[in-house]
Amino acid sequence: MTEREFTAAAERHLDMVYRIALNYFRVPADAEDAAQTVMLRLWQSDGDFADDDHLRYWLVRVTLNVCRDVSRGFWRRRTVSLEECREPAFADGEHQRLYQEVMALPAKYRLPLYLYYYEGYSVAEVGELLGLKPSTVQTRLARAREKLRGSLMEE
Amino acid sequence: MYEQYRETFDRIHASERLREEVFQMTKQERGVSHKRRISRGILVAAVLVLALTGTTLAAVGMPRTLRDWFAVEWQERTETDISQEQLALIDSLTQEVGVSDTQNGVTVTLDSITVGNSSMWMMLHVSGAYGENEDLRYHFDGIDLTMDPDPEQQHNTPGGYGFDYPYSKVSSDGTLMVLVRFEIDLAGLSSLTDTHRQVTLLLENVVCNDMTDPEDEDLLLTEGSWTLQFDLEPQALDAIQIPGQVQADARSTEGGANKTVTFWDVEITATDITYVQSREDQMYDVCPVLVLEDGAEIEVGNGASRFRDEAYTEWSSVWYWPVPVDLSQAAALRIGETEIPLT
Repeated sequence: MTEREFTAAAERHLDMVYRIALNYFRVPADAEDAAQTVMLRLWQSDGDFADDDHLRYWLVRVTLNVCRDVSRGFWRRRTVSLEECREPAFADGEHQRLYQEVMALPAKYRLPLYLYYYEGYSVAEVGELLGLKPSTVQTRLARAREKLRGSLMEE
Repeated sequence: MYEQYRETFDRIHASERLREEVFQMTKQERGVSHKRRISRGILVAAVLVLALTGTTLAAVGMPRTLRDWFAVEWQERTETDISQEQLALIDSLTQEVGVSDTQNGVTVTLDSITVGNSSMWMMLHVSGAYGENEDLRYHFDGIDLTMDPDPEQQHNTPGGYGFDYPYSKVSSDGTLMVLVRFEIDLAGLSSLTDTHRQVTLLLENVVCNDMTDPEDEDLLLTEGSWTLQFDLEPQALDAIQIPGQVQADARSTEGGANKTVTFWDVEITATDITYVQSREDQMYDVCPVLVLEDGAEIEVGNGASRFRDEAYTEWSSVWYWPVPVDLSQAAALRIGETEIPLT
């Protein structure tokens, strides 16, 4: 992968990598660490991608692998500073509230939700990426929607 | 709500600090440090040997034992720490084995096993000469397991068994740890632990894959054929049987509408759940969930189905819990939207 190709890939996909890691960890600092690791692996890879969809799929897969490996490692920090915990700030209360409700969901719901509704992967593709049966993905999406509707309607 | 969801995440971006660090990566040399990367485009015929003495790898601290792996897996799946009761249950199902076979300079050792009703986790240690990279997922190109007596010998309908690789990692001393789970569909009619069995595990060729492309082919690292034999001793396992029938909303596996399906002979063990439905309903599926006293939920992993009667009228399904579960902590079973208290 040339420097130019890498820079273009980072411009297009860094936010996606970060968002996946943020959905995994909830903590921005951990998400940034994971995103940096993923991009370093991209830079060190052969860069032999058939097209941008292939590259994107590769990045999603590696991000999930990195997040999984980091969370299993005993080296992973168990306490974080308040600064590192600070959630993103939104200009309006509606998006802030939705973000908080999404982040209050367990990770097993946040990740399928993000990959399906934001990145546009099909149920089968989400299942492949997360190592889940399609029926499990559908169940988790349904539960996530229920929980979000319930929390947002409590106001 | 979905529009709001997308708008919300549209507003989330990597920080300027992260962007800067990423774009600075191109200024660094692309070389590897202690990690060697295997290119997908190169077929490696020779075995790669890494000198790991004095090298600290990120793999230090990774689980080496079944107990440690279950603890990490439990935390990841339930977002709670594993309890002492759960660990005690795992200890009661786990036994050290310690049998080895060496072929072509590579030794495969079956370190320990955790045995359930119809599945068995096997922690294998592979030592010798092979390639190492933390991005890789290792497994054996060929694997088979036979038992004497065969737990399916009293079955009169076709069933099946399979293998899964939940974990593989190279430890700091260069030992490759490969966790294999053997799962067999016994339709609730027999158990791996209902009598003494001699087990023969056959393994062929160590291969790896970086798992980043569904069409990636495995890379052969070491050719060989290893045979490991060990004994399974009988053990009484706890089980919860749901009396009578259960009705639940089930999803069609063929994309059709949901349907209320009747299930019976629902039995929960520490490692699986089995139930029966009619032949007419075989295309309807549910994903059982075990709800624990502390609110944690255990979703099923793999599953299998078969007819359990020669008349082919009873469709039996088995689902495997991803980790053994102490049933004394189980508060409810959820099938579809139906929740059944287990107290």
